[in-house]
Amino acid sequence: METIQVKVEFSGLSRILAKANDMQLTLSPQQTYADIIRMVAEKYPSLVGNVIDKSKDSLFPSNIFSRDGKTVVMPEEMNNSPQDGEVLILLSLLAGG
Amino acid sequence: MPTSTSKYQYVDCDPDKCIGCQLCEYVCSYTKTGEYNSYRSRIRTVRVDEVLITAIACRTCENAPCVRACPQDALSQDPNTGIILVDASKCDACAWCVEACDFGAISMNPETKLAEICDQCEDQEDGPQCVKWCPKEALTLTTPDQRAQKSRRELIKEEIIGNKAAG
Amino acid sequence: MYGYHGKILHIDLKEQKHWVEEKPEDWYKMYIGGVAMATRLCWENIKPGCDVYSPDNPVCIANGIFAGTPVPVGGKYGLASKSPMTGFIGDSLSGSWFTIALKRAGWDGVVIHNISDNWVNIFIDDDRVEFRDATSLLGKGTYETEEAIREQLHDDQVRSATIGPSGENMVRFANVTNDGRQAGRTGHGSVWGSKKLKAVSVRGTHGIAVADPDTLMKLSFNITKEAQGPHTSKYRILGTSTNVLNMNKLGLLPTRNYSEGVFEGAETVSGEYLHEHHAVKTIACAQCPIACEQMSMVKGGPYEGAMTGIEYECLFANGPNLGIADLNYVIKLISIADHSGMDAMTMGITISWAMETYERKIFTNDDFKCESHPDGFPLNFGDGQSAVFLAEMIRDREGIGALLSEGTRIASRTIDKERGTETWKWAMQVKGLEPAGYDARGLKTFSLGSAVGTRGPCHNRSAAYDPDIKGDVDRFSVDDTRGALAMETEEYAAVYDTLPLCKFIRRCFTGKADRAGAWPAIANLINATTGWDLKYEDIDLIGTRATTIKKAFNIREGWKRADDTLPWRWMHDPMTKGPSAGHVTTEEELEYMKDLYYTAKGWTKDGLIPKQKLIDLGMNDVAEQIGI
Repeated sequence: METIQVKVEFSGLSRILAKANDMQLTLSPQQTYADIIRMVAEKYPSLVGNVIDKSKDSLFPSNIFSRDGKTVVMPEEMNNSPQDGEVLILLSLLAGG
Repeated sequence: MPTSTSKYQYVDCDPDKCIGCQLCEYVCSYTKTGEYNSYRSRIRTVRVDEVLITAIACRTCENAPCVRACPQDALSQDPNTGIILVDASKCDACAWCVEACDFGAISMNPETKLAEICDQCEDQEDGPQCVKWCPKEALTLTTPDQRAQKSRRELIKEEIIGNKAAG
Repeated sequence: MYGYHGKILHIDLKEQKHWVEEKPEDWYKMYIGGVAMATRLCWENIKPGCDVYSPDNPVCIANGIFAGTPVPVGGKYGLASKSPMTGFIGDSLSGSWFTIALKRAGWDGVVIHNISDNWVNIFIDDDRVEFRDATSLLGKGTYETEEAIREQLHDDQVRSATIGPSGENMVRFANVTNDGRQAGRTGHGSVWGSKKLKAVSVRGTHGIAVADPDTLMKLSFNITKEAQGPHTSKYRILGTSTNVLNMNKLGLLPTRNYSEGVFEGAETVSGEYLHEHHAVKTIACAQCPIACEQMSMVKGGPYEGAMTGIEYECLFANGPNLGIADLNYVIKLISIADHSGMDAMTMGITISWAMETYERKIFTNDDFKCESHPDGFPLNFGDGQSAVFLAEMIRDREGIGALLSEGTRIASRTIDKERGTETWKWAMQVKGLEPAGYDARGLKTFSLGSAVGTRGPCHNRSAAYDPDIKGDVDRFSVDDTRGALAMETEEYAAVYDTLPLCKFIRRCFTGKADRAGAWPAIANLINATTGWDLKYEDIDLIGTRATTIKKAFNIREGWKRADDTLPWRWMHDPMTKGPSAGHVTTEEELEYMKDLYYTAKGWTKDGLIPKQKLIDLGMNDVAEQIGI
């Protein structure tokens, strides 16, 4: 396969700051989750410093990529590649209320 | 609402930014008295109808009504800064100044009953400590004219951006 | 003593007298403040086994260590009694100017005993105590009562904790309100109502002395500035309601009485939608530089102008959980609860139980007859208007509202007894308290945390959802790490709830929220306030002691291992949709995890506390009474 499709959905803070609900990405199969973060940061610089770390290759603490709402992309997986069709939900976790 | 016609600076609060946390009162009382006690604060937060929130300190009126009201000549106004000075040896706790102030910006020490008024932290190198501390940058040291200029600038932004959004 | 006064105020409502109890510094080192100190005051002052509405169940109020200082988010207090909902410890927290006034008045805590002959407003005026006739305040809402008292006393710095009409009517889950915030859960308002105690008002005019004010100012200033940065932006910009879409995407958003975890109407009841269409103003609790509460208003329609602060927990309970996708109804429902002073979570979950009972044709229109609807009304999921009618009936205890005002446990048991039904199977409660808005079927560690919670299932007292949601563990399965995890997350939360500090500040000390990131900074704040020399491990002990005294109280009230359980639905009835579909926490899984938790705590297999364990914590008198 030449390319794969990945969708990033914004929820909560990321959605307000990005002023968008989601972002569709076309990747080469060897591209990684860290690459995805860089691509999101390029397109939505307002996320940098709040949701995405200033280095642009990792998420800010307590923000996660949830794969299809079921599993979490752990920090040590950031250099792995996603599957074709994967949906990554960018969540700012928050407790209380 | 009465407004000051003063040329002098005063500590102004933007009610849109104020969240009502009262940290200004703690910082003020600590700076002025060495203890945390909002009854000894020269700036007071006010909250009405749950969501209307602001903070009030001396507006340094020109020809200040509090100075004129004082029967003991205990209050005087610095002609350069507009700051109201209280001579504790003359103040007899009659509270006429408190009544005379349209802004409710004068408070009484609960123990001595002497008047206490914001002096913009004249003795502090970095100026009014409440302004320095305010977490939302709601407080500024400003003059009525500077505030008017700011309002005009904000209005123009609001109108142009508002029109763009509407269009 | 710095940071404390060494004095607890006791008030007898019947005899209209008060006395002072002096406490040694060591007592404060053990129990600190907030929930631990309030629970300890219950331990010392409640007659074991008493009826919750009897003269023997006092109201116990405990200030925090930082109340009245510039330490950010330190303006919270603990309120405890034996809970009318659970019969166990009822400990609540609230951010409040009330506690700051109380501290400035010279008190570390207040214990209010007995029952008043007539409705009373206690006025603590520094060291003077006045019993004021509260007749003119009756029927007034919570905020309205506070304002009326300020007017009566001609002092806008008087701060009050009040009950509203729900508390006066003894709605079991009524609560106590101050400055528009609530000591919200476990039914304190009905305890106050049973005592004819409408309000406690305070004027405190003295300053608060701390050991090292310069250091405390510097530390506080830095945290205050950090609290304007990215670590709190989610709280500042959207508030807790942001969780609606988060939970929905994880399949954990309780929908239609917890029957599903995905709500098709989530978008229009989301924090994002609220922010854009209904938010009026963001406000702060006392002494808080973050400000997360979204004051929100109904715009248009029959409830136009209704306004209150909207938080996730109240929003889920009265929105998705009722199948309602229109925020105008949700805000109205929460404003009914807030202004009349009742727990909006329990109210919403009780209405959702009634809706399911109606849809299962056990309730009919006739069950909802009332003065304004002589023929009753239908109560389907999604029917916002009927939900509003029912909330008002609960508040007034009118018609079936009287039964529903007892919460889901008593309501379901009563109906099942009368009609031979099994409505208890969809009564969402543990120990009599309704759970939080995180469906624990898809959060196995949190299901353990919910089962063992001393005040019932609670998202504030147990942070066990954290490792589940962050992916530190597989949230759909069980393993031998869960007991220690539930313990660690519970004791972590207990530190914050005892100081108390709002947990939203947790990343602002060093950028890291874990023990290593937060404990040394918290120790510095305590030491600058008190002059003590607490270290990292002492901060851990605060959480251990807090959870232990609460558990000890429950044991003395007859707690048994079987009380640590889950709603039937979470154990037997899996969701059908979304990422968390198909999962339950089975009885076998739960019992296994309880074993792990009790072992981690150093307790017996029955969940009781060995004498030596209590003595090691310095709680010798507790060891004598309940240690084994």
